[in-house]
Amino acid sequence: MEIPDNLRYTKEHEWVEFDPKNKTAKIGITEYAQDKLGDIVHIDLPEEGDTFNAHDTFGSVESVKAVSDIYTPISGKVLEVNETVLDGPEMINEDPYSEGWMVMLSVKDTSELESLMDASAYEAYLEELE
Amino acid sequence: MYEGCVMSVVTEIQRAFHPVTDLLEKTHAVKGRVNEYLPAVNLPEAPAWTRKQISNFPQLSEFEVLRHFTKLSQLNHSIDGGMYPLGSCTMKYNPRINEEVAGMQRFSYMHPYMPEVDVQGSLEVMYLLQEALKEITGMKGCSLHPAAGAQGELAGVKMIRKYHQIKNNTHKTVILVPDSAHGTNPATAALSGFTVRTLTSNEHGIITLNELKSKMDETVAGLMITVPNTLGIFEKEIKEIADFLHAQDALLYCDGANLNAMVGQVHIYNMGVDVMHINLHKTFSTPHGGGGPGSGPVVVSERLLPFLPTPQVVQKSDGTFELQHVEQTVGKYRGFYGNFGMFIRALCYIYAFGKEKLSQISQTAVLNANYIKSQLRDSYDLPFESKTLHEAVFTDRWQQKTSKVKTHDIAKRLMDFGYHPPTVYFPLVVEGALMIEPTESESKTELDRFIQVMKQVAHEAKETPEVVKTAPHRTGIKRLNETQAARNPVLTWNQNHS
Amino acid sequence: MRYIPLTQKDQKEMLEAIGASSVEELFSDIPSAIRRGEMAALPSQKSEYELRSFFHKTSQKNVDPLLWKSYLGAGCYDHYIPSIINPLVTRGEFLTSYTPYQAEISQGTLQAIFEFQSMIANLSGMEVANASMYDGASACAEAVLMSLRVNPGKHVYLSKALHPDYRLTVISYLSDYDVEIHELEIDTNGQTKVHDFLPETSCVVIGQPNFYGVIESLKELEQSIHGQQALFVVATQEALSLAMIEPPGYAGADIFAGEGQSLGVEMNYGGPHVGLFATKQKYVRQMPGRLVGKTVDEAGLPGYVLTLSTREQHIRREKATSNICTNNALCALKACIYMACMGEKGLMEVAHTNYVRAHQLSEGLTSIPSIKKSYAGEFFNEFVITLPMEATKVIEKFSQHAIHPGIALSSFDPKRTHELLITVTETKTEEDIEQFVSCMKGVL
Repeated sequence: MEIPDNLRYTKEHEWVEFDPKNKTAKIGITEYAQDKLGDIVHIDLPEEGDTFNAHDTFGSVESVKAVSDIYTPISGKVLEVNETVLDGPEMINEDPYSEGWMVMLSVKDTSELESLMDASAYEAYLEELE
Repeated sequence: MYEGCVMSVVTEIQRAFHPVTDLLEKTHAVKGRVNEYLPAVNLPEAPAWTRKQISNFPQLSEFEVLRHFTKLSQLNHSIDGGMYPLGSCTMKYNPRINEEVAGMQRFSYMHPYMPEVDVQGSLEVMYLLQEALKEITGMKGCSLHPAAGAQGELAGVKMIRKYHQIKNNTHKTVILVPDSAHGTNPATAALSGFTVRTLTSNEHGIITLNELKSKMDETVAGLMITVPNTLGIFEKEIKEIADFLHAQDALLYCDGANLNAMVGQVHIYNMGVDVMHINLHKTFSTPHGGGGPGSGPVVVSERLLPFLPTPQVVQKSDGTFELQHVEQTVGKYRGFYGNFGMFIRALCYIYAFGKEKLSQISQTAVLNANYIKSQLRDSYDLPFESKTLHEAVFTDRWQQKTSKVKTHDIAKRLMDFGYHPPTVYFPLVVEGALMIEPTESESKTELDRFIQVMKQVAHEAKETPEVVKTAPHRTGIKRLNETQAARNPVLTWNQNHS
Repeated sequence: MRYIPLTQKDQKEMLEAIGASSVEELFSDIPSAIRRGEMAALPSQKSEYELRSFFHKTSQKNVDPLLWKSYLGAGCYDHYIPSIINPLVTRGEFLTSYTPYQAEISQGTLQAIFEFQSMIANLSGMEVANASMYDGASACAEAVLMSLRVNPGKHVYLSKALHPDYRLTVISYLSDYDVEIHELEIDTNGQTKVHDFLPETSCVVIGQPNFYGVIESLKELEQSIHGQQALFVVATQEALSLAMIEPPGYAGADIFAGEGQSLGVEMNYGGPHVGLFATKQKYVRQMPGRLVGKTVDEAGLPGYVLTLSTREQHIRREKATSNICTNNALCALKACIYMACMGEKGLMEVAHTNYVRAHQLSEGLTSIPSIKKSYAGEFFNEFVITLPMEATKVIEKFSQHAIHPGIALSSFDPKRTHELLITVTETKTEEDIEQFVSCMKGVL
């Protein structure tokens, strides 16, 4: 299962891609999460300009028979929402780490990133789950 | 090969010779047919403002309509056609005398606003059913008003809300719900403005007084609990739970979905219940009709009598009947008085058994379920060793382990043998649950045949798992693409062409 | 007991297999203090013969609806039901099947619901309809709840001419919401008056035709309602009117909720009936209740499934769009067959007949100098008249002629003692109408 090195991860199976230059972060769900959910049929995302604290619910992903909330891993304001996955949620199944990103935040407190897992910690976490 | 296969092959042949018709969808273009259901009348021309057409609407001859729906009916599994062991749904035989009496025009053609003096027969039926449900449960009051079980729950939880409002218990904002509960329980509590707090079942599958105590505080308004619970296990500590709740001025809601296991066995009032809804379409055999109509009367203890949904039927001193509205009622949740057509069927079912035989319902249902459990426990994993009543919950753990065959696959394979699958993936506390409720209606011969088929599927899961994973093979239609249906919903035939 | 197939021998064999000595032992988990003893107040077992005669005898305590002429309506209508409906819906395959969760063996119910959804959408002029609700009143309450999800707010406006049961049901459903319910006055035509709504108004609910039978001008209402950022909910208590009046969808309604009893379902003393619910495609994920969608199977054959079920209580639990579980599928099937056999022309003709007959009676009655119509507005098949005496007295006198002449408005509003709500459907002939008018002349 793919777990890119350049990303940070949460126990709820979200990933964060931090851009230190602009202090922005892209957020999505991991390969593991999309595999567990199965075919994703719908996704709810926040509006641009909404602000969130870490661990807030900011949307949900739906498969045919399940709904999962998505939590913000870090605090911030929504700069951009990926319209492509809103229209074609299957993109999250096909390419969870790149085209399947969900929202981009402006990061409020970069120190929050420290509390997230790196790739090897997340890999170990997944092994624990199995 | 089992006999079930033969039945399915018949279905397949029917499907081959009578492919599904899209007659309704396709014939709106055909004009010029008029259906003469009513005498010819000379009507003046319609005013200019009237609607000129109803687009994409059928126009068929009567026989075409009849044949279309007859063909559709042949694509359904039904309790009449084969066993329907759906746990928690109580799919029992629906006697036809019930249909006959409900269809008497002197019942079915009565208008709800006829003067009470002209509908004494209908009011008497309602009164007798109220009294029968009170007697069966031992409860103190009854309203037949709610349209279905979920609406009975809503009325019930609103009564709990009102009880606390009147006592100025404004801090009581939490409803406790066990993790094994039906989804309607938390949904209803939320709809009534309560916050839901979950109770965890213990290793024997029940809620203990200790678990309740650990989640209890002064904000708790009540507990919604299903008895026997969705694992089919009787909540042994229910009386202690009720007493503890009452000591803290919290109330007990009993979800009556599994009443079939308790008829004639359990005194619901003595259990400490304050309100229970009764699904007439489960315990009292009103037909499920492909998803309704149901009917969800509520029965209550003294505590909630003043708040019953409106109206009830009362008998006056001269022996006649009238509709009555209690002053502090939680109000109306639907139009008129309730699903009268279901009341009459349920009453007919209760009277067919009478006081002598009513407890045979629960006795037989529980015997049948335990028989199935005893015969299948070597083939499927039983997650709980506890004693169970009217249903048996197995899992797919063994099949998953050996060959990655899942509950879903087992369910689909059963269709090939002419059986409707059990309830799957519920209750949520059991992973890969297969929940079987045979009801009192099935004969031993049928149970044995079902058991054989379940064993055969377990055997296949081990030896030829692909056969199970790709089932069903003998139904007219294969597994449907649910992902496509949800991603791009096509909900009317207008969208077919776009 | 004839419904229970087990013999004594079966029981014995099964108990042996289980390893229990008696059936009683299976219930040993139930403490003796809460066991049910004898249910003495229940009657003794009745044979099928006794059941039939018992219910026949009880039914005789009702008046004979085939001999009596009924002009009662107000949300429940005496329409002709074609003979093919009951034989079809009482086929065991429809009658005794469960909710079609297992699509492969439920295509009959699923396709029929899809057809129902399609016809209700087209009849109401809306984009999508669901697989049915309990009835008109609860559908109306669900429409208000859905409005609060789509367009959150603190205020809801209900027309004063909305059916009283619909209003009471909305009030009960919303009793624990932080929402204020307001009423909209009606004018001398009997039509709802529009005015400025408070800020944060979620929705406005209008009955069409309204409780007094009057046809509302939906287009005017729509402009004002949408102009103030509220959702426009149209509720109908008489689905047949949709075949004659411009439907709510054409007038820009956001949600249509209604009672479908008129479409082939018996009056049943108030239930079961069938609730209709339709909306715009863009709101579909906020809809309550079940939906059937068309898809294909593995072999590419078309088929139908329950879809978008993540909205529902069995998956989303306390976050569900509604707690509804059972709907009124069999009544929806009746409505489906009714619409199919009447067809576009048939429905429009029946609706037109209702309109004409009601107007004939209205004209006949208002030719009596002491009777006035309460409202001047155009109506479909029911109307209110003001009498020179108490309406309940008139009802009593008419009963001597085996006629139920209408509903006294005093049962809904004690102040309105002299008003009678009269409904005329296609089941009444010109002779019936003449008889009604001459009876009225005799009474007054």
